[in-house]
Amino acid sequence: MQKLIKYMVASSLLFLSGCWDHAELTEYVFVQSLAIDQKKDGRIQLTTQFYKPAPKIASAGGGGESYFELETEAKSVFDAIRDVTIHLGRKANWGHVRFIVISERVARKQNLGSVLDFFFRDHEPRLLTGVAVTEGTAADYIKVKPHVENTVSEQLNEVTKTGSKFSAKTYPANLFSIGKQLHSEVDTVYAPFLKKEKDREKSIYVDGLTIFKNGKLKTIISNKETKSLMLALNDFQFGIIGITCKGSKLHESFEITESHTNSSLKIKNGVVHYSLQPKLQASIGELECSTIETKQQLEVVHKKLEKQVNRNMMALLKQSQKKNIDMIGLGNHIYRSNPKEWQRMKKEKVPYYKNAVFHVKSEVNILNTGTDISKPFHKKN
Amino acid sequence: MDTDTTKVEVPINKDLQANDEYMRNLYKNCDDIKIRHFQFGSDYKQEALVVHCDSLVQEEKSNLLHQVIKDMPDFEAALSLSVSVQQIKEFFENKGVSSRPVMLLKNYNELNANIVNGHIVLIFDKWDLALSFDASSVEKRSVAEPQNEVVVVGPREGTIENLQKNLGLIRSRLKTPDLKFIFKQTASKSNTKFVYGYLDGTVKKEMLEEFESRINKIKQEEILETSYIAELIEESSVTPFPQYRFTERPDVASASLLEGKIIILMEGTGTIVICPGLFNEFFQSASDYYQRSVFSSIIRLVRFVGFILSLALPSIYIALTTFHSELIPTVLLIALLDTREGIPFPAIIEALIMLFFFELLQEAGVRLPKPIGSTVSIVGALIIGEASINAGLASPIMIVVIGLTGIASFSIPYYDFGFAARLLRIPLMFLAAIMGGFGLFLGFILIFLHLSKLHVLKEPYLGTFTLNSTSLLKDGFFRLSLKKLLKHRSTGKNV
Repeated sequence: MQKLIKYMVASSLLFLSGCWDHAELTEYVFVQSLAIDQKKDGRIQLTTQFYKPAPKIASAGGGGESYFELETEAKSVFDAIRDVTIHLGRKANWGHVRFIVISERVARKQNLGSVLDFFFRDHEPRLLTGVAVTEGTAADYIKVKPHVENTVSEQLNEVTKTGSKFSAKTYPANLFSIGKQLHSEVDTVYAPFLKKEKDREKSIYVDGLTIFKNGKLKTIISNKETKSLMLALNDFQFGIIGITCKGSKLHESFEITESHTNSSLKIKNGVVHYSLQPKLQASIGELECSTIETKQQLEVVHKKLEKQVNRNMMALLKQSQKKNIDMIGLGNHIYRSNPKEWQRMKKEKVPYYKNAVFHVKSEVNILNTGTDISKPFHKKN
Repeated sequence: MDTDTTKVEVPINKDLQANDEYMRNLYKNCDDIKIRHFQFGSDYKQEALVVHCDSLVQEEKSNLLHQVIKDMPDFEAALSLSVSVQQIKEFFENKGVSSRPVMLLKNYNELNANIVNGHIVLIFDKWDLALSFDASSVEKRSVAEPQNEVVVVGPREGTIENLQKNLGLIRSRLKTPDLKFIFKQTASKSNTKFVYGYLDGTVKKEMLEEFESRINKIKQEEILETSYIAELIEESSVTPFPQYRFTERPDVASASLLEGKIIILMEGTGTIVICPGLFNEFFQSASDYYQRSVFSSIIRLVRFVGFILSLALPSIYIALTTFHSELIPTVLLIALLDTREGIPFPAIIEALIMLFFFELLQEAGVRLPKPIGSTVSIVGALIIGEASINAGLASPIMIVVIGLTGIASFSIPYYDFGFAARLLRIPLMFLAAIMGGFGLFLGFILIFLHLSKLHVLKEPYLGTFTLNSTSLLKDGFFRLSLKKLLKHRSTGKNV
């Protein structure tokens, strides 16, 4: 008898544990992306895009779109999400959400953390789900037909990721990075900014970066500024930097193939001195007016490029100081290197950022000139 | 037949007539046993009885008594123009030499045993002993390449159904007095010789003792094949894992002897049993040692992966799709969704149907004659597979999963080890369907527990997996170069 009880207890350990969320794939609909908008009366309008499986059996025909959208309205995001079930016969699965788009309006009015709270709390959504802010209504962005991918959600996910990797024109924000940034000392959050051309189909694109402070959207910076910001954050992978030729409208462009930014922080008499030293390896993309045939000529081009990089960065930093938005997370650096000082600075009436002194000194090295060496292609000897 | 005669040893009667009657009575209705009277000597006054089994003795010359008499050295016969019983008796009892091996039989038990073993037995009038000549010559196929263990490089010899030849094939590879062969006899009806052999000094003493104590228990069993012996002496009959290896290659048998194994051979079958067979040895093939070590090592890994796939691929698929859809990369999930949509069965039922289908095809393929066999595989695999997808019974991905599972089990060199995977696959699938990945790992743990508990001839089944054993790396997952491997072996340690 005792043995029997022992076995029963032991086997209940096996059979009572584990995940009892057994469900066949066909019992689910998989959420692909979400668009969060706000109606004029303040209610949240949630547009959810689902993947619609199309059986690829020859006889069944198939065809049609591989996704569909559903719109729900409620006072909170979670409430709106729950309303999805009353429209569909299947369980919604949030494990494969690829992208969340938030309209600029919501971003400016609502706290980002509270809008996304559900996605951080629930166990199904992944932290690597991409997030972006849209110009205008967010729902319009997930209703666009994709170029190549199966769904526009996948396209958005790829656009922000590869866009930031190869052009440095945006930042690949996802729930994880946003969560991390929201919880840092200076809660500057970066998210890509999506735009859409009017009267044209399939015309969504990433253009610059939205910057949040205290959970709300504060400013939107351009593509060019984003590059400088990425350099300052040491998050620049590949990208193109252009210089205008003197006295003409021609442009020369250089591809940055490798970059590393050293930064150092000093506090002198209560003033923060922050120096940034981007080290860049470049290759020539297009030449218009410079020739590089001697070492001296190469040095001239180096100087030109360095100057351009410095100028761009300083412009961004000045602008951000004007608006008093700690774009580069300077506060985090101070907190890390000198926590005591930071506690004092945080409470100061004159913000530390406005008074900070920046020193930018870039170093560019051209490694690759391409096949047509040293002079513009159209120039004959 | 008469069971009394086998128990009590009755000496041979001196009276030829009585012997004749006894023989005819015993071999009633055994038409292939020939009993003939023979006269010889001066004026053909001496009488003798020749008994032999026609179906076992096919050499023409051995059928003739004359030949036997002739075999006696000429000078004996020359002394007195004719041969008498007395002379034969004296010759064999005192000098005991003839060109053919000869035995003197004392009682009827021996007599009968010799007849059914293909000996020609001569019973002389007025002599209480009988002569027996080995003339057994059943038609056997010649030494050919074993069909189940084909190698690209290496010997093409395979064992045949003749014990002596098989022993010779092994002896010719290990020319040492350390190689021992011990003969045994099965029970009275089959009455067949079987042999176990080992390499003295290499084999572990305790293992040999255990083996001998078990083999000595075999007395009453009628054994027709070496696999009978393997099953009679095996540790556990319940486990799906084989504890002995079977081979038809004398080179494999010799190599295993060098590794300290015991082999069992038997008259009438070409299957050699190698015991004990440990877990990782089932992943080794003879060709591993004939190919370069780098290649062999990679192939080994492929086999291990093949075993795991064969064991768990359907259950992994079931667990992933029914419990852990978030673990599947999104793009793959989308592909899965497309194929799964419209399939009326849950994943486990779908998998079971397809698996049953595969087993059915496999079994049908084995049974059918070769020319039709290929038709079955074409009709079965191609047409029915394609049709079941179109009919919406199974998803293409499930066909891929089941197909891969089936193929993977054939990557294991020992067919019966693949059975273990085939058998354990089903409970794993159910565990995965009920409890997902948790259940799957529960199953893995149970299998592992079972394996680590299993012993073969006092050797742990997973012995090569112990922490202090480097042999798994040397000749387990990988096959090190022979330079290192053979040095290791010659130092006397068991690989």
